[in-house]
Amino acid sequence: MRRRLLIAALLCCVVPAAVAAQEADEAAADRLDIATDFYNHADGWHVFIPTGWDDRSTPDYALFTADAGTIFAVGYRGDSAEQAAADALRTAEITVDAPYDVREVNLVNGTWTQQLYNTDAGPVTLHTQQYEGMQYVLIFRGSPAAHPLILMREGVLENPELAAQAISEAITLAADTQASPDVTETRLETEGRTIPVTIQTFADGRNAIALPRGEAVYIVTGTGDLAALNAASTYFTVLNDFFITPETTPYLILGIAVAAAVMLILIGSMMLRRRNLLKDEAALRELTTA
Amino acid sequence: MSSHTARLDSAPAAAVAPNRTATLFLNLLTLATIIGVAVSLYMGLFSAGTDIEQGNVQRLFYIHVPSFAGAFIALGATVIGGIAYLRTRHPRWDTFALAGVEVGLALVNLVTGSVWARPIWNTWWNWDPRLTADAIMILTYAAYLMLRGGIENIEQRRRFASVYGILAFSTVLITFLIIRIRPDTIHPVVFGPVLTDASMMATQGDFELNATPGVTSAVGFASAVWSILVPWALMWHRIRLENIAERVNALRAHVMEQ
Repeated sequence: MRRRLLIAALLCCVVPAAVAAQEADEAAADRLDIATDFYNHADGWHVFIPTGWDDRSTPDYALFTADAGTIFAVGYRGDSAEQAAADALRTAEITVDAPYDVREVNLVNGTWTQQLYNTDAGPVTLHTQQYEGMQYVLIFRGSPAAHPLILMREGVLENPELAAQAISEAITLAADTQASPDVTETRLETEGRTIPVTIQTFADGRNAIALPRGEAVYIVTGTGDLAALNAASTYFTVLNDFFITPETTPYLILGIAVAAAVMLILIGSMMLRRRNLLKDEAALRELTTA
Repeated sequence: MSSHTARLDSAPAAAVAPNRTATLFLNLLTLATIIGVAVSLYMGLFSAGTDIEQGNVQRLFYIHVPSFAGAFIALGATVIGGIAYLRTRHPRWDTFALAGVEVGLALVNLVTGSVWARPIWNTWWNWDPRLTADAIMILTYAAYLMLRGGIENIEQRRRFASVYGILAFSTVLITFLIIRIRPDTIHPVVFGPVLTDASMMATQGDFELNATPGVTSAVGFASAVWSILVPWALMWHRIRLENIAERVNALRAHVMEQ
């Protein structure tokens, strides 16, 4: 009787635990609204929502707007980066012609293909990355005409001259002109650590800011003032923090196989031992009766 | 199960028929366990959302943590069995303690943690305090089985095993507590209290129970199944096996006497 009561009590524990846990899930779903990241669980990515930017995202894509510009992020299933870029531009309601520059940039979160466009409404920067059958696209449309782009430069942290040269290349790419800056200024700004920043001012009213990070130079050029360019550089933070869920399914399968193997070895050994013991018992009983 | 052993002590060679009611309950418990494990696996592998930081490997959490809870229960049962044996000297408590060790060792699941660590920590193994404590715990209980098997005198073996089983549980407590008191561990504390300065902790591979839909219900159900049904069902089967072994030993002794 005691055994029956014990088993009944143990079984009864399971149902309330599951119900209580379900209720906790529902409460948790409400709390997700206060997250500071935009999550797309279906396509396996999330992105930081920049402070001070309006979050106009839908469940399918992230859309952040501010005076500095518009940031758009989306993921598509497919093998074609071109198709994904075209779909993203259409969804973001941006019309472009062919890109004036296409190149690969290696960032902390993978290798991105960078495409730069000039449109009537201002320049557009687009980055795409392919991972495990998904195409991830980030777009920045500057307003007022702030144009973020990345150029790879080895050793730029040690040599600020490389950052100035990268700005010149960026200006040449964007404006298709050789321009010499009227003022070049290299500053060291501290935000917890020392970051060299190169600022250049041009006669045609264009400004440029360059921030070296790793092997890359993050540049914003445009007709906006320094504050506007700095605000547009938020795109770089979003791009670098863009997190793609890693494909770890093989490890899950391996882990389950190992756990199952351990349990099967235990259960199998108990069955084998039982069978052998019952055989021994039968043989011994025969001996006692013989 | 205990009645078998008791009866065997008084009549070693007598045929002891299994208690039908106990068998029925064991079968029901086994069935409930199989269904429970199947449902918990379904909830963990298919129903719960994919962790956006770790990907699908995070689903090992629904096996790794609940089965450790089951090991905790089984190894805790060894302590109860050991204390009860030392108090009563009844062999059934020693059998109970032995079953707890064997089942507990199978449920510890250090290897699933190692598999999870490969993509998340970028290594199969490191000498993190938690992993080291876990390895020591496994070796301690493996030694229990080996030392137990090496003592010929039955009474002495049972007494030694009881004391060892009680003392060995300290390794379980250390393994459980170490991630809560050592700030230098990188093993995450997903739930339960942290007894050190949380801001100083260098854990890697954390995740919020609330960040992914379905995690809490899946882990709640899996914990209930793996800590209640699985250890008891396995231990009950293991106890029955030991009872048969005792019966065979008694028969063997009886035959030798003849």
